Amino acid sequence: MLIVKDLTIRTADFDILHSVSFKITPGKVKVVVGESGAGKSTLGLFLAGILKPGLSWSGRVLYRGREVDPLGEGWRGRIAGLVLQDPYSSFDPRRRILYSLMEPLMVNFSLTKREAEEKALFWLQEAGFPEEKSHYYPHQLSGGLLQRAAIAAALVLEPELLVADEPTSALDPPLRAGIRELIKKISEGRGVLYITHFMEDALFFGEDYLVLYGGMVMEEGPRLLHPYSKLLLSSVIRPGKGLPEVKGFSPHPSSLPRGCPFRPRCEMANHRCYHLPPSRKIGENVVRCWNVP
Amino acid sequence: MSLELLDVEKRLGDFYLKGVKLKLSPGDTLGIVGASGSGKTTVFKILLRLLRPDGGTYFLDGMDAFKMKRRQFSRLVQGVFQNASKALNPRKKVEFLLREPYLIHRDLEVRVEELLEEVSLPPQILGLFPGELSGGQQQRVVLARALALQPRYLIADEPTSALDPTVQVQILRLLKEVQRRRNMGLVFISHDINQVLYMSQRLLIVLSGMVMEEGRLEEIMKNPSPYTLQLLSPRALREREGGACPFYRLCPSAGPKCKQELPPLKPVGKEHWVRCHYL
Repeated sequence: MLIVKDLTIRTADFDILHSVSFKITPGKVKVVVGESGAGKSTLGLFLAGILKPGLSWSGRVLYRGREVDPLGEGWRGRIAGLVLQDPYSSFDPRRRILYSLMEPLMVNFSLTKREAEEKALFWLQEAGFPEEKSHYYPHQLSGGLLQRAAIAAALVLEPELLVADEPTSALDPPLRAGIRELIKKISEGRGVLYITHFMEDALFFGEDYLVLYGGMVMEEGPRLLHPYSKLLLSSVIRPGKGLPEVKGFSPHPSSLPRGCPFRPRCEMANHRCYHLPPSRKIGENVVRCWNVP
Repeated sequence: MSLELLDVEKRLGDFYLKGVKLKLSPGDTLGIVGASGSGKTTVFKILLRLLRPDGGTYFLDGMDAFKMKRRQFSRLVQGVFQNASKALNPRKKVEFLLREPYLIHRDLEVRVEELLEEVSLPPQILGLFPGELSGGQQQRVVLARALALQPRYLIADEPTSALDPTVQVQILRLLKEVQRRRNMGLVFISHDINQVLYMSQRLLIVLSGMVMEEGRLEEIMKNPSPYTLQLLSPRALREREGGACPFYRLCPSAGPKCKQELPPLKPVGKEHWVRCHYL
């Protein structure tokens, strides 16, 4: 449905994303994982139609076979919806929830008030938001409920792509599971790009990963084979298992090591890793590594 | 020797922290877990004397902590903060930041190099500003600074929550190592129960300013309250209107009694207290 080819996003001094390519299929949640500095949020915001000032981009984005400009007219909100980490900053604090959802419908689709209300209530219900609270203001709601409203707000214009940038990070664990399941439901018939640094979240969807390190795609596909993916997996703390050992930390995108950026932390690294490995096809995965068998 | 809170209360606007009781001996770790807004950070601030409670007492080795001299208190209790970048003066180099405690406590021998080694930082870092360090390195500097005065008790409020999961486990490992080596009492506050389980021998589980469960780790794990169970294995829950019990809103095993009546904190084991009608 959506194909991204050789996407590079750069500041004046360095590249945040290096020639990133991947595709999004409806019905599957594309989970983007990686540590801070990997470029996850920059990628998500770009696909939702937002590029921070001072950044420039090159590459190609194909949507339903046609080349598009995500920063252009009609993309943001219409084709790609966005859910952010903090639901309280996603709403106008002076507006009731229902109105916040109705407004884009009235402005974009010239719906009447009644039509807009009906539609907004439908999406609130889809997102598991209780109808009787639709007249509340954002500050009267818990983070979990407000995040559901934020998801409804992102869906109200019926975008075909939903970008969710760490939608569970600001929520308490008992509420996280509910939001994950909601996103899963939404992905039926729609493309979803789900950004997270929680491996628990990633494993929950677990069908289509995009692993970023230092702004490069280390791996794409249904499995986690790359040594970096293994390192991320090993950092999950499980009850009764003791604490995993994790070496090193992720590099700043302005000072990547030579060759494979993961080389200094990699247990499999050898002399070949001083040259950047190409992306190889292994089963259904595409892996950027010399040494994965 | 122990650090002890007795029936501590604090009102902050709508938020009311009530009846918090805890005890910690050197060498032990007490983990405090709870959702956001449950009062974890309020307890942290009281333990560091940054907030004065409305009621109750805070004993440090038998003395009233709020009547101690600042100097004496600092030698006993030190804190590690959630946001390391905000806990370090951005205009001072690491070397100064680590020397600063010794400028006040002149009777102590200056041991900057040993401190660095203890938190596994290279000496080159001394010449850098905090802004030039990664999040994990910053948190190591915060820890080194806290250790400079050789405190008997260390209070850590979400020391890893601003870090990547990969770096989190490194900091946790370090914290546990340092605590064992120095035989400190550690209060470890986190919203992540798996971290707390790894770090602690005792647990204090809070929600909406109330203690929901308290006791020895093994006893709690044998028979956890519905709230703790939910923290241990999060599942999607239906939200309902709030009731008297703070967990009524999400509790899967709530009965009609839970809506009307706040359960008391009652003992269910030798060292295990629970606030639940149905346990």
